[in-house]
Amino acid sequence: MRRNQAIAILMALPLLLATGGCGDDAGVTDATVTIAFEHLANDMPIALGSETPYTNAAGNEFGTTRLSYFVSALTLTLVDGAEVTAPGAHYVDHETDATRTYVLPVGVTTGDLAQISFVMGLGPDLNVTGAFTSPPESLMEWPEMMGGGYHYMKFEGRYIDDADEPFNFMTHSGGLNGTDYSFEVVLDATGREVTDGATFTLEMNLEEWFADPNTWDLNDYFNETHRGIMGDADAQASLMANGATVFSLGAP
Amino acid sequence: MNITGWFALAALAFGAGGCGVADAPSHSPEPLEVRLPRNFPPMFVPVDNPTTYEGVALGRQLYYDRRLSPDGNRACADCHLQEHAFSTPHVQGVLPHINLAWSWNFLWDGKFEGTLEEAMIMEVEEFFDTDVERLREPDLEEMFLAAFGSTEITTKRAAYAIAQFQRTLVSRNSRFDSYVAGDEAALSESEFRGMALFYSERGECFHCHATSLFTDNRFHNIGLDADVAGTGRGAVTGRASDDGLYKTPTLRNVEMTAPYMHDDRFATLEEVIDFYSEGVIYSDTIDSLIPNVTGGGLQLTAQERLDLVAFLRALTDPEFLSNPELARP
Repeated sequence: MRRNQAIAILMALPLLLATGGCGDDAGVTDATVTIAFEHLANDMPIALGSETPYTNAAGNEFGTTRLSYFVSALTLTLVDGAEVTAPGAHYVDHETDATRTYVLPVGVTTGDLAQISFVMGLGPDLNVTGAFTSPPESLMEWPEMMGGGYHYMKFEGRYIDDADEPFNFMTHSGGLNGTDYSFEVVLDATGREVTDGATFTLEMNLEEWFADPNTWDLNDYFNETHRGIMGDADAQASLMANGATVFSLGAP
Repeated sequence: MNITGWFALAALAFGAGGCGVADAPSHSPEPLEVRLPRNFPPMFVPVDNPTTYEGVALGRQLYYDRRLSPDGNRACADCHLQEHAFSTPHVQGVLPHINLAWSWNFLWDGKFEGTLEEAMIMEVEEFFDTDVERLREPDLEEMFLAAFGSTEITTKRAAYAIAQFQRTLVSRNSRFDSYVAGDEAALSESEFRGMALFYSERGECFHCHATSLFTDNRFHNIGLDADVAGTGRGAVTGRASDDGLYKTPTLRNVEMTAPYMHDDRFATLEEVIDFYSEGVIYSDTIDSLIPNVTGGGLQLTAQERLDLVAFLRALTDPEFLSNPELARP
């Protein structure tokens, strides 16, 4: 019995040391935290393809063939006010599983989580031509003739147009001619706990890009004469506004 | 060269020892740094195949040398002619050898994926079926000795040398590049309008013909055919979602690489632009980057077509097409 107690104390010792020991409430400061990215449409995980199984607020049937985007300045804020921000940006491509998990490149203090926040896209400090020199990130380049930098998002697919034909859409966002359309997303995370090895899931709900507050009828944005929205400042602003309701925190 | 590279070279030199093989007493090939413009991506050079003057010289020799094939009747350069940007108008579907240092998949359907070294090994061992005995001649043995530190000749060494030469096939000196470097007079008014169209969603060229390499090295169905079952990338992967997809070719020197598309169906750049303008055909896997498919494509005006072709011709790099350092030795 005494031997077992000794073993138990020895096993617990590293844990006690790691957590600061007696009377110290500070958490582990180098916990590894992973952010997972899930992409949904109409509450279902998306599948890339030519079909149009989803419906947006305007009633357009649509599907998606490509989804890639940047998040940056991802920040975890604890209830006690401590916060840590991952430097740089993370590239997500639905087609590449490895990009859908983001092991934060900084140690995180354990404790009760208050919120997770991030920038959807790249802030002005990161959105500089030449910042990414290799693919896949470099393939997000945004033409110099539109201000340079990088796409924040490429969300593409097909919708059924007013003529009942499949029509391609390219919901590409980015900074246009000096105007930044990236935006901060803040998600309430109370009730979640940061532990070493914890994973938090960010869900992007695709149909929300086309709704709330601005309902997008895709026929208006992607048609024979209006091919895309990259050069359309009003569309970029509208998309940025809709972005406020696109993300949510997945179930623990 | 970094220290790891020197160790790798030393290991190669030691590893090459053996009966009938001469080793260089002190093997120190001269590192060659390929000059790149600021807007080019960094070039990956593997530790076990650093680029050296001696290696490039051997690779260049082999590229032009018909002894690479068992019956001595063909060399790389027979289908990759410098004046055609290392492609050929005479054999169907030959992609140009331009900036392959940044490629990770090869051939129109991406049948081969891997590093440049692996691709060249495939070329030497499978495409050419090289018999190394044919290469055991004094002139080549001397070049292998200089490049690798011994006269041992293997298909891997031949492939590695050709990969080194490929890393020097960098096209970076077109009038477009001069414009990017700050010479605003480098492009004519028509070429400038063509560039503006190229980098707009009205022209919709830049998403696939991306970065300073003018390719994303990915696969797309651009709407050439209605029936794409079992073709293109799909024939390699077996996935229906890949049917009709082909690799994006670089547009650098595109003026010199006619005919166009994987099956050479278009003879001129004007025909290519006409296709994108009004000849696009729907199929299930057509890329979402192709606008207005039901309307046949871009619906460009006559002036826009002229401007776009003019811009594409501004991507020609005369230095690359005539550089004696890339020519037959």
